Amino acid sequence: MQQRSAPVQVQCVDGFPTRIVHGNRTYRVQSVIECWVLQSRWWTRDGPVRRVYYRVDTDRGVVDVYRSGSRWTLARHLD
Amino acid sequence: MLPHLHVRSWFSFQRGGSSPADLAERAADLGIPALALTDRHGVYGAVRFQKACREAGVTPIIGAEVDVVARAEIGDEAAAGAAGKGAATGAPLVLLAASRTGYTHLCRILTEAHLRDRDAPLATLGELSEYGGDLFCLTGTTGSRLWSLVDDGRPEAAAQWVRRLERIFGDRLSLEIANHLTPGDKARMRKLERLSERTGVPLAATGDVRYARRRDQPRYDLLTCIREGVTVFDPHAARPDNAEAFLRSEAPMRRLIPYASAWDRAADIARTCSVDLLPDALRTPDARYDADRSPPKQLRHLCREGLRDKYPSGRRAEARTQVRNELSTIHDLKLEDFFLVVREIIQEARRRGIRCAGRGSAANSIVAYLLGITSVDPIEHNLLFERFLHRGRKGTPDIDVDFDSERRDEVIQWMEERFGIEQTAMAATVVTYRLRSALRETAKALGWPPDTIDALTADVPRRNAHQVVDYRDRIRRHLGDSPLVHTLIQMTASLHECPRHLGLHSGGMILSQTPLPRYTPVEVSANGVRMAQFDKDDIEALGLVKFDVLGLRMLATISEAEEMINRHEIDRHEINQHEANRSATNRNERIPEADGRPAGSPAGDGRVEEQSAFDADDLPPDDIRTFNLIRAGRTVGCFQIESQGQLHLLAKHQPETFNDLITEVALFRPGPLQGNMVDPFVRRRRGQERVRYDHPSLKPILRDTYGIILFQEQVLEVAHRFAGMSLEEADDFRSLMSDVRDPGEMENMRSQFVEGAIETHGVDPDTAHEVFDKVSGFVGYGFCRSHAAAFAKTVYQSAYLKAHHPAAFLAAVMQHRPGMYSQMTLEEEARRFGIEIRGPDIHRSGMRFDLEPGDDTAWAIRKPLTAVQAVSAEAAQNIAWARLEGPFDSVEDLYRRVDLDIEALRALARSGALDVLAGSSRRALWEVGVLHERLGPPGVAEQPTLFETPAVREADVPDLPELDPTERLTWDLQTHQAARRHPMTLARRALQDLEIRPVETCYRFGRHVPVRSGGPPPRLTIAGLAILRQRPSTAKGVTFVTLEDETAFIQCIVYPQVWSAYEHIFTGGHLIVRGKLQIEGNWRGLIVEEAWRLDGIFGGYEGHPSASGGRDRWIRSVDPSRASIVAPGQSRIEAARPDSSAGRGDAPNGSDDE
Repeated sequence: MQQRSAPVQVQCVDGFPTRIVHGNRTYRVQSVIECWVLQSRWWTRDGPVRRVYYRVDTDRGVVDVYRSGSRWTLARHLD
Repeated sequence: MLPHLHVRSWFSFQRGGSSPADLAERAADLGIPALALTDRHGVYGAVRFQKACREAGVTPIIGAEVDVVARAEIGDEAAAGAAGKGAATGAPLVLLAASRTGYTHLCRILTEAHLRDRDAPLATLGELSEYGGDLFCLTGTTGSRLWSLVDDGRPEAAAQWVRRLERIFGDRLSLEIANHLTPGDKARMRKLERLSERTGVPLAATGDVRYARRRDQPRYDLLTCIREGVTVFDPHAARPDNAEAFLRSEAPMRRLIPYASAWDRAADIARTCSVDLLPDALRTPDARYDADRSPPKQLRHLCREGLRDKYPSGRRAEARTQVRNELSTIHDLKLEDFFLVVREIIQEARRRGIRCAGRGSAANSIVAYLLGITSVDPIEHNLLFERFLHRGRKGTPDIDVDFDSERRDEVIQWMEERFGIEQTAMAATVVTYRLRSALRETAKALGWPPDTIDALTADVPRRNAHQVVDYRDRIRRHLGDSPLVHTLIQMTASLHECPRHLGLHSGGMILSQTPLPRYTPVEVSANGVRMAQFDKDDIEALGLVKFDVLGLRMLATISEAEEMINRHEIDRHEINQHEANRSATNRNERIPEADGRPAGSPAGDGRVEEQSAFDADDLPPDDIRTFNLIRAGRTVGCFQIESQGQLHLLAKHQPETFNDLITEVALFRPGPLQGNMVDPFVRRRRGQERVRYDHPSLKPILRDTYGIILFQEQVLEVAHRFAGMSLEEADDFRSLMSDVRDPGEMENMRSQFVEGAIETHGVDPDTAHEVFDKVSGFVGYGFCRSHAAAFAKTVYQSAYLKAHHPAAFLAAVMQHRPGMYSQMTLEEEARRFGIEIRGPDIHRSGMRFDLEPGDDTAWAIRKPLTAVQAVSAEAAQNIAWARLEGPFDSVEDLYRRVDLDIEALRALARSGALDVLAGSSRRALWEVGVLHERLGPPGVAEQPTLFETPAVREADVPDLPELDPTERLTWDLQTHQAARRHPMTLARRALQDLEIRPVETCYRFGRHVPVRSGGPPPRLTIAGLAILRQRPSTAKGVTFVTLEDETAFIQCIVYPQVWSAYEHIFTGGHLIVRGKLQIEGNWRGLIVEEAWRLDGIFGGYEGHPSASGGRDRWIRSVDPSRASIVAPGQSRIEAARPDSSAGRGDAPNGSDDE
């Protein structure tokens, strides 16, 4: 499993990612395996941090990406 | 529309984040038709939930999350079956009541689990088999056995577990699926679907809701942190990963759990469940009596008998009319059985010789009086029945009965036997977070260090602090500009009204006709008492009857004094003889009218009066000696009238009759005190001020209180007669007004009142408004007349005992400590009454304070062995049993014969209890040390043989000096809470040199030393121990410090600016003060102008609380080193006053457990 944490561009349909662009690489999403949410740090002045994770099967393997606000991040590559 | 079948509220105690009302309201907003409440291990919130659902139009379903062991019974290893490893560990199932029977079964299961282990209630499969009928079972979510097996990849074990449950619940079992958007949820749903297909048990979808809205999640997480003792920065498995466990509407729920059949199943279950916990009628237990009459006839019969016995024929007609009215109301409310049952309890208590007294509004009822439930004649005292009961009242009337606190448990035990253990339990109280506890716990969870939290919370009063924002500045002063302060304030506020744990009600005993599990699970309180899962309001809503069995230490005191008086009558002749020989010298005693002589001692001419057994319930009315004592303010130890404030009031009010005692009790309440009604009342009573009424129609209502509203009944009557409301409406008005906080609502009530007055009497609006202001200022802050009358009786009894039998009374007070003064002050008071106090003695002391014939006085009080620090009741019993085999002839003899803790033995030596064996305390202590070294622990070594030498030989003990007075004082204070001499005696010579007067001097002014009226007040300098500090909310920041020396005590009045200047001195233990003497009859006060420390005057002795600060009320001492915490522009008094807002009910009117 590769740990990454890089900002990515994501295209969505009905809120689910369909295409992930990381630098000059493009990941085409074939299916959404799982979706989960992590939320913490409600005690900070800025309020809670909420991340919506998607584990997706892409043409380049299984990856986890998450959305926090309007920003997307590639969290890890599972293959 | 989808139901929600698995929902926790904050009645899961730190495991749920929203109130039942919030959940119901949110469900209504989202269009959720049916909502279950499934709290952990209980139905604590069910009644509130059902009420809230009724209001919101949502169908309530009652259930619970119950931890179940996978065994037929606890300890059943063989039956662990498929669950195998971990079967002894509980895992939750969700049980939902399909019907009232199902609810009863649920209560049964919960009761069994709680009674088995209050800390970790676990149900067994055996219990589920027995009581599983009419219950739906969901297999549970996180932490459940099924989810664990599925997540662990053990489908076979999972299927076996499902089949076991299916054998119990049949087609009422469902596999629960939920999705909180955590990793693995989706995969688990698929696995559960496969398991459902394999076993044929349907899926049921739930939200597994933990809070109403997403925004409530921080509170849920905070509560989890508090529960687990971690900070918000610490990871913990129990903490939520996200904020997705909130109540969702249908569309998002279907998206999260896309299994239509699972939702259909949930809807089917919701449709089937129907439980109504809120009946329209009460269910009182059946009364038991020896007559073949119906309850109404029996009640009438008893009232007739009572009328005959208690009312002479001349007064009977009025009483009979009142009885008829009351019986009619009682009959309409179907309360005959209730009255008869209460009578039965009182009768049984009296039969056992347990002192009891009905109080509260029940004393307004002539029926209660005739049945012997109360002892105040409502006709004589003009008490209004409607304040107690009327046809509009819902639930049972409040009949509060105080019992001798020491024997209250006997009454409870009898009630359990009489009504059945299954039919009785105590009501609970839901202990919620108060501001102080919420602040402490939140600050801890946010990571502040303990010292900071201690200082912070010390700055917030324990009581009457409601809004955290009121304390924002103080919080910032302690915590600085931390960015977390805002969170702290916000989250502290969010815990407002959040339940913390379940406590035991002080006395509410539930009496049910049928076994209680029909209504409530029963669990065990921390001290082992069976209690329901509901508080008193919920109990009433369930249609159950509650009877308040309260313990009052003053009643125990009166009983103890009565018993002592009667027991020592045996010695009467001997004492009389002794007294007769001394009668001439006795006449010169300091306090001739109360010289500690026992009943039956000779009259002035030496004759011995013949007396029957003393009965504190049969005292002569309006006894002169008793009222002399009360008017003289010599009431330390007496019920309700011993505080400094009361002493001052007594001096002004000068009660002469029992009725005056009623007003005395009623005057000393926040309503009259804050409304400045006391002085006008006193002046009008003395004829110094004209009695005036705001309107002629008020005259008959307020005539006997000189035009002043003093009792709640008068509020009711004003609303009735002046504002034209019916009596029922008037009582509702009174009751509502006590609770109203909303200004808008108050204005509505004002309009109703004013319009009524104008319509009824044509009163001008200004007058009507004026009367309303008086009523609203008083209501809720004053006593009802009946309550004051019931209390006044106990006041009179205690004062009578002190006036006529001071030794027995004060010994009983020392035994039960019903009041506010320390042991040392009580002993000083006894000496002022000419009673000798004798210290603990290994041969003479028993288990309780007792009387002995005195040397210089008629009676002496002997302190018991249990008064000695570290000597438990059991240790004292051991000594007493050993004494039965003969007295101890040495410390070694005691050491060998009695199994005692070494610390107890050392304390006995230091207290002087062993002086009789060793000759001196120091030698006794030395011998104990030698014996401990040579013989090991006490009570273990064998008795020495005839030829064996003693373990302590003369040569082992050096020539020890006697204790000097300071040492004696220290040892006494440290071991039995009071010295043989007042500590101030040690300083007297030094004080005299400084021309500092004894406190008694203050009392000479105005008696022996004339004080010119209108002239400047005398200025005096006195010194003493600060035995009490009070700052009542009614006193506008004034602090009262009671200063005591060996001659007397006096109230020192410290105004805020003086306190501010001398705060570090006033918070010390002993002080010198100078000020203006205030004289009011027999009362003296000193308005303090200057103060000094008395440091070092006792040779540095600072050892005992009594000598280093006494007891504080409502204020805390502030460490001078923390003076820097006072913000610029803020006075030091503010900084030192955490409870400046101490509110109603806080008047310093004694400290008994009323």
